[in-house]
Amino acid sequence: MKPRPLTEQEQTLIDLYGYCQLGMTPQQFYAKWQVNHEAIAFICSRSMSTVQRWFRRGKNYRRPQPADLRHLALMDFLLEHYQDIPEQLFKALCCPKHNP
Amino acid sequence: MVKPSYRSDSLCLYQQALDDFAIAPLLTRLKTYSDADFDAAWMNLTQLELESLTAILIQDFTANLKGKAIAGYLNAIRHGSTNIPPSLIQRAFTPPSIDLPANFPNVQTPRYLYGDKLRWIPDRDKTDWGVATGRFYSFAPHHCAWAWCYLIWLDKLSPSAAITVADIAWENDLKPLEDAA
Repeated sequence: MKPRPLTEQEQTLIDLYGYCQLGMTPQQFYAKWQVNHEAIAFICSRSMSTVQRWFRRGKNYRRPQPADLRHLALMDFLLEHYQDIPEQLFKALCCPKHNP
Repeated sequence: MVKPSYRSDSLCLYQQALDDFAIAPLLTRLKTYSDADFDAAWMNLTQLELESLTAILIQDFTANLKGKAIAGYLNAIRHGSTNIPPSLIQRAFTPPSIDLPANFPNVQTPRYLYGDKLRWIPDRDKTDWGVATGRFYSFAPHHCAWAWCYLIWLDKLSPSAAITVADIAWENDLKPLEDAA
């Protein structure tokens, strides 16, 4: 299948996404939603051993990757706004069968 | 130093704060310090003297802050996320560079090979283990230096196997599985 050329608007959208600084720290997410470390590991597709280090202090502290912060920010966005997303659109977003 | 009331939980928090702000390692270093000008072993330092020395050294550091060092550390912090790793305070005062080392790939030899069975060094909780399937060289903000990072394919019996099939970990956070306690 031939790739579809982008409109100017679509190119702007790609720029918006690429430059977007969306991020939420595990501490912010943990303080806002009643979840355990396992849920955070599940959202970020990371092991529990890694997530535990995000919550340590001192020499055992390890920084999450920027991708982890974005995962948590997107999850937070969905938790806040899923009720505003039309059902059909929500299914297209979260149902794996719809992905190419 | 001003100590909190001696309830076990606040004492624990006090100790945690000393660790978080790298004061505990400074106390330990002072206790065993030795060079041409000062040998702690000969001085029989009392706890009060030790704490006073620590406070004076921190005051001295505060009075002699250098913008170049602050800017370097801020740059390192912003490279990753918004959290400030307290371990940064323990670093020597040379502004860290986040650029790929000029001598790459002639840097420190990786400790582990593909196929090695490794586990995360246990902290408090149970840890995960698996097989090293790859590695890459990356800037480690907690060391303010570049380090090897490994891709670990989790064992089916590893606690997080139900959550994810693989994860990445810094070399210093891993140890061979057979060495694990």
